[in-house]
Amino acid sequence: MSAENREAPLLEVSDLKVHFGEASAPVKAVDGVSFSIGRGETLGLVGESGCGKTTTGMAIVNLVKSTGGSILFEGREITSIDHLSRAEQLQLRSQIQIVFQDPFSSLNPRMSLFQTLDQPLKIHGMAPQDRRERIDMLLDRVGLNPAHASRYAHEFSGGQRQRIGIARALALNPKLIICDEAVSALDVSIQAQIINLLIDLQEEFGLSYLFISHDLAVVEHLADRVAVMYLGKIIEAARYDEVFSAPKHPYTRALLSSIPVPDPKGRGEERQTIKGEMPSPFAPPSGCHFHPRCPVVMAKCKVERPSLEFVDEEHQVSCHLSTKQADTSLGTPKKGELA
Amino acid sequence: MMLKSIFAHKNLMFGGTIVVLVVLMAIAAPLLAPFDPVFDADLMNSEMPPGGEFLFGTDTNGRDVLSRVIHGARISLSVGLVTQILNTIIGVSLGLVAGYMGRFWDDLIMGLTNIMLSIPVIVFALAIMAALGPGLINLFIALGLTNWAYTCRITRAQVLSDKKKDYVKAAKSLGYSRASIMFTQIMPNILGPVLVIATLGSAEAILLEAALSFLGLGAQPPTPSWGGMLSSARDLLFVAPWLSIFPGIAIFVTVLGFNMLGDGLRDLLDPKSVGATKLGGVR
Repeated sequence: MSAENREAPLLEVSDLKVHFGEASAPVKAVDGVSFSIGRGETLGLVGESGCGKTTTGMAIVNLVKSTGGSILFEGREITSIDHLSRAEQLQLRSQIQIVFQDPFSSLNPRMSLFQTLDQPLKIHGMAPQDRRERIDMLLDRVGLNPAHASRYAHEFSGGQRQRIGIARALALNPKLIICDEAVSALDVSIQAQIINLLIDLQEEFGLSYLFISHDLAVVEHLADRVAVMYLGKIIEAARYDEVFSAPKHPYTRALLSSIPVPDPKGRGEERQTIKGEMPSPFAPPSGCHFHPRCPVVMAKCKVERPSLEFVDEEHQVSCHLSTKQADTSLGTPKKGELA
Repeated sequence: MMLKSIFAHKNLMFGGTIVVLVVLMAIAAPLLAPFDPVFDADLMNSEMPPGGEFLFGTDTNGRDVLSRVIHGARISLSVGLVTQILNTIIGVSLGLVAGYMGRFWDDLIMGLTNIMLSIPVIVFALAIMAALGPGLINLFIALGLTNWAYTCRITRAQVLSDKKKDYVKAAKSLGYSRASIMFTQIMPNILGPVLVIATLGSAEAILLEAALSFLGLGAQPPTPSWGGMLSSARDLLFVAPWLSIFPGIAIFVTVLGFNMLGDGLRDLLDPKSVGATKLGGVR
């Protein structure tokens, strides 16, 4: 658990597992993921498609059932909400919201903007007059014209639709918003607008974000901390500046070097790319899951799976290379939690 | 733009025109019909051939066939409408539950649907009519309860594809109840194909009504029903062919109209079909 001087985190995920399919041969979409998010903090969760980052987010909002581990929200167990009463479920639902990747399928084409925002408030028992005021406030905050409230989703552009999605997520006054590739489907210029909007809203409402993305450049703008996932596991987690300036895991380094550099003179010689595709989660490789693609693979990696260890105060890595150094230089890590 | 694309569909235009005309005919039947279809019976004018005062001739009881055909539209259309409303309510509700809830409910409802599909509708309807007795209300019940299987299947298939969309996930995470996700979120998005099935089903129901009335199980004499008129005319096919021809044409044209309207609607609502316009995006 956290040190005494630190406030309890808003969200604490420990050893979360989401396995699909038969129990005898499960697909381990998420396999023992642990992290925490503090109040007002943004955790960037990055990785290639298929690494389980979206499934992790879905499990937190209970859209996917987790098969193991625990999710604590404000110290409360929310791994399964089936046993909660309807009122408790509604209360919990209002605290954690989600913004989706595809601004087209995430809005109901048969509902006007007003209905999209009004119905959730109605379900949560707000009076009609208050609802109207809140909708006007929300539209104003996300930069939409309240006069357009009677329009339908197809009458808006992609960026506007994403603003609607954000307004909808904000409607119930949540504490945590899960942004599942929330800007990936947008043009770069619109991406920047939406990212700035998310940052402004975070300051205004004291929100925490779990920002799921495959795009490290986007995460760099937003995240306080970054966790890198590979094949259902977190392989590196640290403060964002550490991840970007001193990545430890070979996979993270490869991801970083894959960010395009706009200045031709700034392009170094050694762009390090990873070969091959992510292995199938049906039949993950032995030992370290990354070893078939790792440029610095050792004999040990093929046999023994490295665990996620602290190599530094706030830096966790799951790699035999780093832990070997850590053993000699820093000694055994003291904390059992991702800082 | 929408109006333009409607005019571009010949099936839709033609079928729609026929259906509108038949509906107008049914509504204005007392005004259009030169005689009362039941009470203006004059045995002196029995089995008069078409022409003169009686444009479509007269039947055995001396009633004007034109007036009876015009009034018969009311029976046929009400059968089409009422049975399709019943079928659609049953089919959509069951399809939504099967598709959205899945597992046990899906197996149960799809099992039931397959049983319904394996029995010819006319046989099923006949069995119900035999149990309930002849009559128009019983006909509504028999046809309204037996022909929902296609609607159910189409609805389920649509639900299966729509329930994976993010707007449904969003609704779940916002705390919508299962019932409101099914009926307020998903249902409005799947009604396009259901409308097509209902239109085509109306044509089928009108034919089934004619068949059941022909067998003496539908609307009872002296109510003017196209199927019933055919039934009573079958012995006189060579003596007074106009008694069969005119109700037959009425059934043919009406069913054709509904079928073309249904096909046209399908073309209009399905963005993948040939000549479709961007209207699919609105759906």
